[in-house]
Amino acid sequence: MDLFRILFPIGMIVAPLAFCVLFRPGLMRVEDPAAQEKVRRLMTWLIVGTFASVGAVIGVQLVYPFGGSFLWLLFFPLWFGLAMPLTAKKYPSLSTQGHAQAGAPRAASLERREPESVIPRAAWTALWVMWLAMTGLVVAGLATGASSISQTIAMAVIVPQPVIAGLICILGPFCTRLAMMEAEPLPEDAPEDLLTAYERHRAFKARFFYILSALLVVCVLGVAGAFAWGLEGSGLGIAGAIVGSLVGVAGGVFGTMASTRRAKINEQIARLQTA
Amino acid sequence: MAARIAISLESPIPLVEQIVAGVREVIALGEIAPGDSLPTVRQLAADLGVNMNTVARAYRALEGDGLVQTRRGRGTTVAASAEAPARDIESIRAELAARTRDALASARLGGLSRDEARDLLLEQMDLFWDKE
Repeated sequence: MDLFRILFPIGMIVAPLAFCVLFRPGLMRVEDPAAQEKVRRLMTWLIVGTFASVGAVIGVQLVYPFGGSFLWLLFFPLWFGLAMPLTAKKYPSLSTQGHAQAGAPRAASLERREPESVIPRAAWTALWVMWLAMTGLVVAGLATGASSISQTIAMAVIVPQPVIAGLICILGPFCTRLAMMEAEPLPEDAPEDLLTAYERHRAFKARFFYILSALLVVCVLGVAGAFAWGLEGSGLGIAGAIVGSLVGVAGGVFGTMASTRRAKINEQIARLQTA
Repeated sequence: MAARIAISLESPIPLVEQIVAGVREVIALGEIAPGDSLPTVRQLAADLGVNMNTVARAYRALEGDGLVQTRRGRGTTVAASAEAPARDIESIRAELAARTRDALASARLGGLSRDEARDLLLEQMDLFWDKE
């Protein structure tokens, strides 16, 4: 457990630097020398910041046991303050929307993008059915009194989970609809394969939101069910932490993939405009 | 192929008018039919990179012309009467004459020859009517 308290914050702190070193999206790198210099400067600060933070974790942990584990929060300044700006600067197409440069005509499709074209209503209904079934199991577990936890803890830990899962069921279609509204600019004589690329990207995002929503509903209600049926303290906590982390990592990976796919479309548009 | 419209931020023609003209053109060309849905204001504004109010004003203008209709829950669709003239034929003739005269005046002042102007006019007409 002590090793975990050291490894977890260090893993979180090293993650931004590891991402910047390992991320190879196959996108065009920035060509402007001034911007390249800025990228180098940010990378230097990221390396220095990472090593300083790791040193701080080890130092604090040696002086105050358990104190260093809270320093995983240093992930946020390293990620949002250095790693993300660095990545956006290094690959400019990640931070543009692909609209035509001033002077060039801008075109748009007059086809309405419907979320239902990718994820039918029935799929969201199925998610609600799953929510209903799992919530029923949670309630049944509570009614049998299988759990040894007190009623106060049960109210605080178990009852909010179906509410959270319900919110996820509500937010899923909303997020999918928002994803359909992402700008899809076209050059005046856009080829058909560009429209196909947009369509695939849209489908990817919608499926991602659906799968993520379904996974979250299962995980959240699974936790509530485990408590309600008295399965706490049997290693399920560790299993829950691992599964929860994996869902989070999967979200990050899919999000990065979606951004990269979109950036490739932006580059295709830029090539068409300069051709 | 899906119907498209194009605008230019550099054009002296206001953006609202460009969007109205673009949608009117695709309806006239039959690329979208009565009952077909138009994109939401948010979607079209995002795609064109313009303000949502600009697109909303264009849709209102099209609605005023009787070309589209907006219904709660269904969004904006091409009106059933879009292909039938909403005004009397004389006023349409007068508008066409005025607009053509204006465009021809610009062409003449811009240095276009009579033959060039005629060829351009015929080329545009071929988009909307069968060649004779």
